[in-house]
Amino acid sequence: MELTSPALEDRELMRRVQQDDRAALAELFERHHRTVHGLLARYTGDLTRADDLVQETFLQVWRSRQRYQEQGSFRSWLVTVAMNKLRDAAQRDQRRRETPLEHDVPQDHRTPAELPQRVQQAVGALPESQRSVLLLVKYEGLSLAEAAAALETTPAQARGRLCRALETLRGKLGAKPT
Amino acid sequence: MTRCPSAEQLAELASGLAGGDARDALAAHVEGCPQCSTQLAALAATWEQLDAWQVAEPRSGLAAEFRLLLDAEPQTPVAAARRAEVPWRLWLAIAAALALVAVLPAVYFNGNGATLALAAGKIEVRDSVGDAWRPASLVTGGQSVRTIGAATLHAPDGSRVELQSGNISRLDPSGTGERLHLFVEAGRAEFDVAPDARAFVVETTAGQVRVVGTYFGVEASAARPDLLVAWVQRGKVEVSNDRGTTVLEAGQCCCCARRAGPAEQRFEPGGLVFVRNEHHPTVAFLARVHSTSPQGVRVTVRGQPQDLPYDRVFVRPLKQGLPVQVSVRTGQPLRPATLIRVIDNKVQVRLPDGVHRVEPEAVHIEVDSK
Repeated sequence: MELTSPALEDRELMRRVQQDDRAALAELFERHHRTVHGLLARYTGDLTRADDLVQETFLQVWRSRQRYQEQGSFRSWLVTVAMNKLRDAAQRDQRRRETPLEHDVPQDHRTPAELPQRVQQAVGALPESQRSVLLLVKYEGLSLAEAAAALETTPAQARGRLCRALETLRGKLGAKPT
Repeated sequence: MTRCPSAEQLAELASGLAGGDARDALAAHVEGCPQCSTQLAALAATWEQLDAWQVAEPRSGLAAEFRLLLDAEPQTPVAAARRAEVPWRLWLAIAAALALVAVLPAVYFNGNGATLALAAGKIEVRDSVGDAWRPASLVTGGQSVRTIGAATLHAPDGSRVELQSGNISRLDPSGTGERLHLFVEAGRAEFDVAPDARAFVVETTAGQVRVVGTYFGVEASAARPDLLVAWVQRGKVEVSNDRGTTVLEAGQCCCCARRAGPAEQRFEPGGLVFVRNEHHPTVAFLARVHSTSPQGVRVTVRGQPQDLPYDRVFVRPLKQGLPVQVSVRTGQPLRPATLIRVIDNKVQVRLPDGVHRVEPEAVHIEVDSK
């Protein structure tokens, strides 16, 4: 049996998903849900919400399975889907910002105590365009090209944003050369 | 490379993204340039600092939950489904007609059509006249079922019932192929109801849950037969007792006591609830619901999560003009105020010196919390 790289295997699994194979998507979930969860948890600062968004992301993969094209890695396409889910959720939150008393109240965002506050706060204070690139590249291990594709921008712009993010963080975190 | 690299190039080098010849050229320059070397070291140190931010793993069982959600997804791709889309008013009419069809058989049929087949685990059953439990693989209308360990039952329509160890339930004989009616006497049961199931009714001493196509759970306690805890993971259920009815959606939970309407006991993440003071039963403070579970409610109190049993927490509609006591700043004494509204996670109150926004936990309300 010919050995295949994980990227090829992902594509093969996605081909099966496109033929309505739910077990193949369950396998992709098993492989990638931690990565997606990490991204969403860092983005939202809310582990429970990240759990839900992970499920929504993979359900969206199922619903959009016929739109998947084998250009680029499956992971960067998955991240694109997750980022779209995040945007949808943010828009929903925006609509819920001010609520009459006798109805619903805005969502509370948990700040997990185990997260190092300074790094979390510093990253959280970055402009969204910079924060997105940083989270994808630093924590999810995407290349600049993959991150740029996921964020619908160019690699050059992604590089510029990452650089500005790192500069800002250096100022905020006060890192000294080791 | 003789000219100093740009800030972007240094950032790429620090983050390990520069590759091949470019990286070698940059590194060669930096080695001989104290200014760039210092800047690169600082950027690299910052990049490493970011490693400190680790997040917890996803909750256990997420993959299993996802599998259940995925199984409930239609086979037809959304794009194709959209082409066949019909106006929502038509769907509404169809839903109303189906609801009527689902209710009618329950009224007019009284057959023994209800069955649940064992899919996993072990169960014992006894019928309404017998007094001995015996092993079984099928539960029919009129029989009580007792689980030995956890057990899974399947309904003919594909719906699934997960019974917790020690659960005792009775399959009502009035259930037919059109409608399943389960009475949970004690223990926890979770239901994954097929989307095309006509109706599924779960009853406890304290109330009733009626559902079509969802994933939800119900717990009844032998020690507290007046309480029903229902929680919804997917879809919607309707919870009712003789004091009223409420609809629970995904993520919401209800601890329904017989003495109060279910709407007054509905909890949802992000919602405000009253937490009863342990020592002063008529004094309560507002807190925000973090999550719910069959065991109780996790609320955020002064920024810290705290798990509370359902008997410490209750929901009341917040009405504008409600007299409250607030402490505008930490440590300040409570002052009389009136409630205006909730905005941006804060509670807006009116004090003699003007309008203030305070944390929910700073608002104390004297209520009859019984």
